[in-house]
Amino acid sequence: MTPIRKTTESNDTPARTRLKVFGVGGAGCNAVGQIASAIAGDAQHPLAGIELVAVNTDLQALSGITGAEKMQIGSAITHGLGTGGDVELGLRAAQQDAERLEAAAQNTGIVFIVAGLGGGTGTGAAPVVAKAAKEQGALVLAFVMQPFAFEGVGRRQKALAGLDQLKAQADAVICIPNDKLFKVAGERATAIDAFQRGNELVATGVQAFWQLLARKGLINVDFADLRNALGSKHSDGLFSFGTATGKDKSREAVKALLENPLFEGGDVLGKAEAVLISVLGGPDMTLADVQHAVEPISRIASRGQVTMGAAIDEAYVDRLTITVIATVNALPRRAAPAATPVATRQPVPEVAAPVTSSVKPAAVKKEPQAKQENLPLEGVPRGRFEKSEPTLYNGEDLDVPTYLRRGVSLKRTAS
Amino acid sequence: MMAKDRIVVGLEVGTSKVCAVVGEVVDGGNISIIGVGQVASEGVRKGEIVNMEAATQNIHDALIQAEESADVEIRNVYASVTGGHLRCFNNRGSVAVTNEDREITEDEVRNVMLNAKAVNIPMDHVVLHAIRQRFYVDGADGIQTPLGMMGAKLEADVHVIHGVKTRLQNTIRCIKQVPLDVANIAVSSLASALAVLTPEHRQLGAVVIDMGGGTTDYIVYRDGTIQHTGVIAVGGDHITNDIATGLKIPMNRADALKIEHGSLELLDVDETINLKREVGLADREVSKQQLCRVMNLRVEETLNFIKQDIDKNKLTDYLGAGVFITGGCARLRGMERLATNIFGLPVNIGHSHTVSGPTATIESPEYSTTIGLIRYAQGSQRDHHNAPTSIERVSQTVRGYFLKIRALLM
Repeated sequence: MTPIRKTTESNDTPARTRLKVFGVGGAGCNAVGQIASAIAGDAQHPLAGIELVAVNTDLQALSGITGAEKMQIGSAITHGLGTGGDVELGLRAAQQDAERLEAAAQNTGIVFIVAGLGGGTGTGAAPVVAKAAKEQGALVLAFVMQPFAFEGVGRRQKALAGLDQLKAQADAVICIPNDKLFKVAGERATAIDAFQRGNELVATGVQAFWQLLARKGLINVDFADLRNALGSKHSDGLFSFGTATGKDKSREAVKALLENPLFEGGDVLGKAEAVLISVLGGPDMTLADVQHAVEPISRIASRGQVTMGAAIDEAYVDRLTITVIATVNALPRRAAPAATPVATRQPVPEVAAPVTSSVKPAAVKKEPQAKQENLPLEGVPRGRFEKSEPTLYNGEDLDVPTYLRRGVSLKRTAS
Repeated sequence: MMAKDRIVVGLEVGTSKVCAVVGEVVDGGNISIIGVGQVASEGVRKGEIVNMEAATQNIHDALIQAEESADVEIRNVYASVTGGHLRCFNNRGSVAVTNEDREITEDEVRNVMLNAKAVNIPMDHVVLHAIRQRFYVDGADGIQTPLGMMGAKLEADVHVIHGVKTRLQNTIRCIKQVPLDVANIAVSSLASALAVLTPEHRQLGAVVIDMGGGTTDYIVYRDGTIQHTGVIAVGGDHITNDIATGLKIPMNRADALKIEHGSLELLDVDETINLKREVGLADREVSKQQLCRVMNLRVEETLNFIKQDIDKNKLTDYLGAGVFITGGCARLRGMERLATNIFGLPVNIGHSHTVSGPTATIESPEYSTTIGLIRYAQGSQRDHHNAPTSIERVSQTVRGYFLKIRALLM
């Protein structure tokens, strides 16, 4: 296990570890708006004190948000309207206001970008925001929501192209396919509920980082550790969390985390290069609780560098939440874009050549593009066991074929 | 004993097949197999029933077959249960001997067993087996039957197997819907071991691995008593599923391929297997090397889990008789060699040499559990103590449950 430090607590957050959340586009602004209204009603809210920025082309959408800094972009191009799903319009709008974006990201340690991919502003502008923040020296993490399958192939292809753009700019991209919201929220949830849950997921992810840096910690993690773990990896991420109460809360929370639909059986965790584990408990949390919570996860993630932190929240009496963010480094830059996604059964050319087809970058054109391998969006195939309870054994889902979990290639040797 | 009691039926509602074996206890306590009924199972995944209706129909069909082949009427059966929810641990109970003359009587033995069984298990669990391992009288080790001995303190080690009550009830309810009585239930690994191991093997120490369609059950004997048991909800189904995903072929083709060409030995030189055209399925060529690698990885992983579990419980050095592999997957080519490499112990592909009957039945590893149930029945009929059997405990709770529901509704 990597740096475990006990530090004396200081409550002010120095400039290096300021944390800012940029909601980009309609979905991103919604998420930010929801976080803002949650904080506004509750001074004890775990995210209280966080800086929120809503970035959108659509003035009307921005006007509905309170409690966050608002930034309208591309007013000369869209004249205060949305982009109507045009990615290039979103991209140009953001480029036009790149300086303002840079200014907003100044002196910030960590920049979170929250966006829904597949639309115009989110898909086009998020990579520009990432770039602007990166140039200001921030650690850039993106939480993006993929469109629902029913929204059609066109939207999904836009989203995939946008995802590649974003990965090239951000330090880590954590992707939440909206289809998984069904699993999280349940089939019967209303659309509003489902989207709210999606926003809550993002909030939980942001909170995990925020707590690591800002809360009074049992075990503190500093910004350098985070940067070391996640910085410049251009990676794919996994994000999951579990909460439990009661006597055996740490073990139960791990169990909840492993069974969270977002975890997808956790094969990413086994392959992860960097893992961030954040434990939040009440004042009654013991070091043993922390150990029980962290140990099973770090055991699964034995290949990666594990960074952990534990924080205390007065409101969390007899309750414990574990949040895990794991990142897998995508292919090295030179590697062929051979990446045929394992589980996407769509026609693939857009995935293999994401940059050239649907998005025509104006400013990014001449820069070297990192080609990323896509992790399967639909998760690993469980085939016959699709509907049955997963066979969890030491955190691995044994229903997933062994060769996939071990990463054994079944390529035919020339014969 | 009545003539009727001499006919015993073992029933396994398994993932790949539902199988009933009729055994007759002949003079001297030997068992002879007189009938078998078997149908493909449709309502079971990973050892547990997921479709009651299909499972009930399968049980019905299998028993009709068994009745016809043995020419008997079947009223009650001994059933095996398994599933990933089963857990086990060892526990020690103790009582003070309070008699005037300090003699250990059946009362003390019963009380110490009750004491050893009184353990913390999760609320929704029920004890399936509490198997006595050894007794201690005033701390003196290794006593098998303390009856009639003198002492002040009696202690007993037991091996407790427990599982989720509702899940265990599913099997029983399914059989009762046929309708049939369930005489008793036993965990699959225990039944298999009773069929495969001789008393000498048990004394020397052995592990029996029953790798079936949906689960892999294992049981470790040391010094003649059960020391450890376990279930991993991974079986032949997983191998087939891996092949289907890895080679991108449908499940039924993957299954046929596994049986016909599959092996656990890795190939140095690749071969091409031609899949013949069938209705609705085109010609395909697959690589035998890939097939074997997929299978090898899965089985190796599963056996390694068992090895790690045995190592963790520090039992590896007590397995004098070695490893016995049974269940349908024992038939996989290369199983013996793969298991020998993993365990570093003598490996036998186990079949039921503790009974007599048609060779085709008793030499098939997939029948071990069912045949073992007949041995189990023989043992539990011989048992003197009046403690409620596991089936009684489970069905009592079913009854209690219904009463509660009725009370709520009224």
